[in-house]
Amino acid sequence: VTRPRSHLRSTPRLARAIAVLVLLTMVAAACGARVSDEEVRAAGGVTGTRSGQADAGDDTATGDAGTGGATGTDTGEATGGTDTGGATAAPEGGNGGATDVGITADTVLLGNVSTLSGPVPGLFQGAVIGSQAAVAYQNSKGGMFGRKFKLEVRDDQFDTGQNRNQTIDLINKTFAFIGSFSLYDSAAVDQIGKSGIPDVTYSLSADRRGLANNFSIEPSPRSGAPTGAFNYFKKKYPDAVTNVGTIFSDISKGSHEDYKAAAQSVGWKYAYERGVQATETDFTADVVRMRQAGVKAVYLVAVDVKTTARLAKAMAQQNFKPEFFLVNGAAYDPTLVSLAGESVEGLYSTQPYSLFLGEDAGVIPEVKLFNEWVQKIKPGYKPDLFATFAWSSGRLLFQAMEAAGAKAKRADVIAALKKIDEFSANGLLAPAGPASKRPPECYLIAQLKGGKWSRFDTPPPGYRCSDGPYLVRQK
Amino acid sequence: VTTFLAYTIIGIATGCIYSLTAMGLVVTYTTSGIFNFAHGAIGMVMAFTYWELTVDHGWSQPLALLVVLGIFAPLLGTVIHLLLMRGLHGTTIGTQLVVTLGLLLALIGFGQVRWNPTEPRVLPEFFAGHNVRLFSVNVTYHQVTMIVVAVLVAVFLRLLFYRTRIGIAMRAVVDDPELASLNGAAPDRVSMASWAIGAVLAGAAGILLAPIVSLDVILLTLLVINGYAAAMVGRLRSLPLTFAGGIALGLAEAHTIGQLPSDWINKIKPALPIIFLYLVLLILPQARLRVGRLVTARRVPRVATLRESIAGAIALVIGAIILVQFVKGSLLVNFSQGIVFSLIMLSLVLLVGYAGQVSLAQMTFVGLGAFAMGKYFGGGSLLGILAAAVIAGAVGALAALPALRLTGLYLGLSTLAFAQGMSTIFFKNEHVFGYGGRLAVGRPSILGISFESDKMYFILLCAVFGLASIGVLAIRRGPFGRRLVAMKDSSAACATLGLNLTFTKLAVFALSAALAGVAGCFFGGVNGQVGPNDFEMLNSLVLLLLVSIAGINTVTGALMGGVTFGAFKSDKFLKLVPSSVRGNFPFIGAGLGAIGIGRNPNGWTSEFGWLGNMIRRVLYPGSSQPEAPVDTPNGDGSGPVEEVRELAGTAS
Repeated sequence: VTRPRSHLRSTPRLARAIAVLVLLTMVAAACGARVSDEEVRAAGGVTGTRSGQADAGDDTATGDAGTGGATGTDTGEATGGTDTGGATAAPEGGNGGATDVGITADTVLLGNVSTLSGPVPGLFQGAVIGSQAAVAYQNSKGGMFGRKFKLEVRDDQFDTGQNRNQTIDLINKTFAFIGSFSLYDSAAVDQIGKSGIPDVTYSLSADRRGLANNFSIEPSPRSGAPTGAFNYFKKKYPDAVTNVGTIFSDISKGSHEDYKAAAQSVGWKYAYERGVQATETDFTADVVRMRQAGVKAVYLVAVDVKTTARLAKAMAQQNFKPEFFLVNGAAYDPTLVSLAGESVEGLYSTQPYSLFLGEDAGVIPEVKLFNEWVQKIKPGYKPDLFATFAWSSGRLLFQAMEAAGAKAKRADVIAALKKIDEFSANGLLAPAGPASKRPPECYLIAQLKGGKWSRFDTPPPGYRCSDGPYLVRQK
Repeated sequence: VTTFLAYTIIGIATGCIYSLTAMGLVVTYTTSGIFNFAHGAIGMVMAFTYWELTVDHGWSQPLALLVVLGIFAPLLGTVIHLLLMRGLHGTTIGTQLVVTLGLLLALIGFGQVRWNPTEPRVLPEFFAGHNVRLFSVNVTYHQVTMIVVAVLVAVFLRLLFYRTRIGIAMRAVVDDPELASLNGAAPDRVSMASWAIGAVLAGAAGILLAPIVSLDVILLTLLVINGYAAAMVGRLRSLPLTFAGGIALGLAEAHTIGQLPSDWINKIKPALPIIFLYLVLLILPQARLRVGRLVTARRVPRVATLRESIAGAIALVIGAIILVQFVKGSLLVNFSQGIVFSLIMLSLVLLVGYAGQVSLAQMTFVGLGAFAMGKYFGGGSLLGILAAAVIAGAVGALAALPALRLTGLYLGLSTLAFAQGMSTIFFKNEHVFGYGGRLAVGRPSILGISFESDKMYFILLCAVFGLASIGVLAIRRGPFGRRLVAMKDSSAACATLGLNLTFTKLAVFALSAALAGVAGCFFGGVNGQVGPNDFEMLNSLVLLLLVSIAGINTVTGALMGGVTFGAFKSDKFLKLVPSSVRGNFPFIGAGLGAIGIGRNPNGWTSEFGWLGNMIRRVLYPGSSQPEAPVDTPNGDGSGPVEEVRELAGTAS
């Protein structure tokens, strides 16, 4: 039986209008909750836009010039990353004008495709801010060879097709890519490879990392992990490392397997391991099971900071205190202490980069410089790893462009990048080999004490480099 | 024994989380007849509001609780009832699902705009720092509070619904509002009270859950999915059984972690809520055949003739050839994405629009198609398209087995469980998409013609959509299509007339899945590669929502739904949206669009029926075909059951 419309109780038009108004008002009320493109531009004078062209040419603020590399230490040499302050003016005879795609006599247009919206809005906004900061800093020194840099930022909306779309579009408009971050960054891998565009990007996909024109500031093979930290903790806690417990994100199982293989290769033994999903409600059962299994050390590698915080709180609630609680990288995040409070006291982090949140600012000038320029781009923003890698990617590209000369084409810059096989962004990162795709073997250990991170058994400003090699896992 | 008891305590604490969310769902369903997919989203908004008052503005906990649960939550429930749900009584289950899905997306969009997800927020536990030790496990006072609240809520609601006049009236209004009003109840006010109570329960669950699982828009919204299984144990009616279901699920999870070896935990634990839900659905008694019901339909759309559908397809391809002369770059790819989604939506027109079978798993079949093509044929193969259709169709038939016993909401939830199960067990398996989770899918060459370029690929997509449309419309006009519409209209009447409903349901599920599988090949081609995230259950919900907004009963609806989807992704379009909401516009836009569905289940494209009539008059001036009258689905005074009676040879 079909009942016609007129017989139904009708929702008054006014009610529908109110519904739309209520929702729009809720949205409008929230407009101030996020920093708009315009605000960023006003704050830093430099920005890329979500989908439009960046306006990076006007900033004249002076930043501290880099010092050409942090000094080495007895535990590791922070090398590479010369400052490009000496090649700002156009050479006699001109700079060659429009030598290639995205380059004119006055500007060099760079591209960045990152995930900025979708299920987790702002997921990789740090990648954009870091890139913008690097560009702004370079422009503050006068640009390069008479040209200013501009950055065009595209949002892939957490979508494969959009990433492909935006990347292909920028291949045809920009001179090079810097600092992009996306889970879908291999969507246009064929086009990137064929185009010959200098792709200075830390890619999350092995296919893109494997491209001849991809240069990562911290390269990593298709599958593998460093063994240095595992050796260090084995020496320090020989008994505990034979009873290790871990949880890992089920979507990062491959990464977990890489690090597990590296750990086992030096004698670690896992007593408990479980893949967890994003919608897990509670980790108390895992903690009880770890205790039951005799776990003496907890090691996390493939989980995000929120999961780390939740596990730490569950451990504290059950008064479970392993001999050490170690997280690889992800724990060194500005949000960890806010999320987990005192439950993460004493936590260790091993990471192939400096304490870039500012703890190393006094010993590594690049950390100070990086933070200053991030604040110019977005005041109050606490930089994350993506911002750090994006800034470093910019520094690597600028170094190569200076070496390639004023009239360089894309191929010349790639040739210059292929000569840079020792790079650390002046100590901001552990040294690695972008040209030969050599991953970093050096790392530093940090520990949380009183809610603050500090170096542990890693004298500043260097890294620990002699604890073990990088283990490539054969599959 | 102590260890066993320890996991039991943990299981009960976790189970109470499921029970609380599930009871809220049951209350709303029992008192409004609508399964509220947005229940978790309402709880999320209330939890964030509570955080804002207590942490951001420094209000005391009791005052903030009073304001949030005593004023904001009931107010939101009332507003939702007045603006969205009041018009849904008597509409199809698909319409009801889509409206609540729209509300869910709109609330997610609002939450992400209001509370920037990149900023950490912590909601302190109640009685933070206080524990009680039971069987070697420290149970926090917060967890104890949750257990107590869950029990009290269960008891209170049981008493409310069975011992009070208002409670009985609430249940009566669902069954028959007019009869209830004859007995002195005020259906509108009673329903309003039901939604207010439902929102309060959602808010309470959100506020209790947030300190444990973290204040996260998506996480708090989706946690309720685990509660579906518990709600099903009570068959969406019994609160005590729902409570027991939640506890049972919590115990199952805790003891899985506690008792099984690591390997087995990793295999079983992620799928446990889904396995639980599937089992419950399978042991539910077989759905009774419906004799008929009141449905809100303005007009069953007119079905295009073969000549018209061929002309439409040719026009589409010609339009595509003209379009590619002017459009290029990312905008053209957005158009291509739109057409691919139109193709996927076409499979929903067949299944949901014609046959009335709800599916929340369509992207799963798309994924199977893309997987078959990418894994075994690389992308450029007609054989791959065939394989995609066969594999997706076969799995679709398997997934349809519960459909033989279930109808309406239960069927929808079984497909949801299937989608979630496939995502967890199949798509996230590293052997499926390989290390890194991406699989390359190429573009085909057909008869020596390469469709590698974006222009040629767009033309190919339009041609494929045109062909598929001709096929779907031919099915609709034929005997099988009449069976589908008759089954949607009254399965009891069909069974009485001797039609084989089992075969009909299986066949339409398989056909729809096969079409989605074919679409999967082109989905992979337009994006270049696919991965597990592309086929998440949530994407299927968005798909259903968008095609419903445009019109799920028509090919035009599918086409326009896909085009809308493509527009949402286009920079050119998004630039028109204020930057503060640009990133969340698909959520907010889809949510707002769903508001209108309750009023017009045929979607917005049906408002342009006059345009079709005008075109027909211009093209075929001699043959004036009358528009279908309001009450008769086929426009000739007969309904689908009459058609089937003719088919069955029983016409009088």
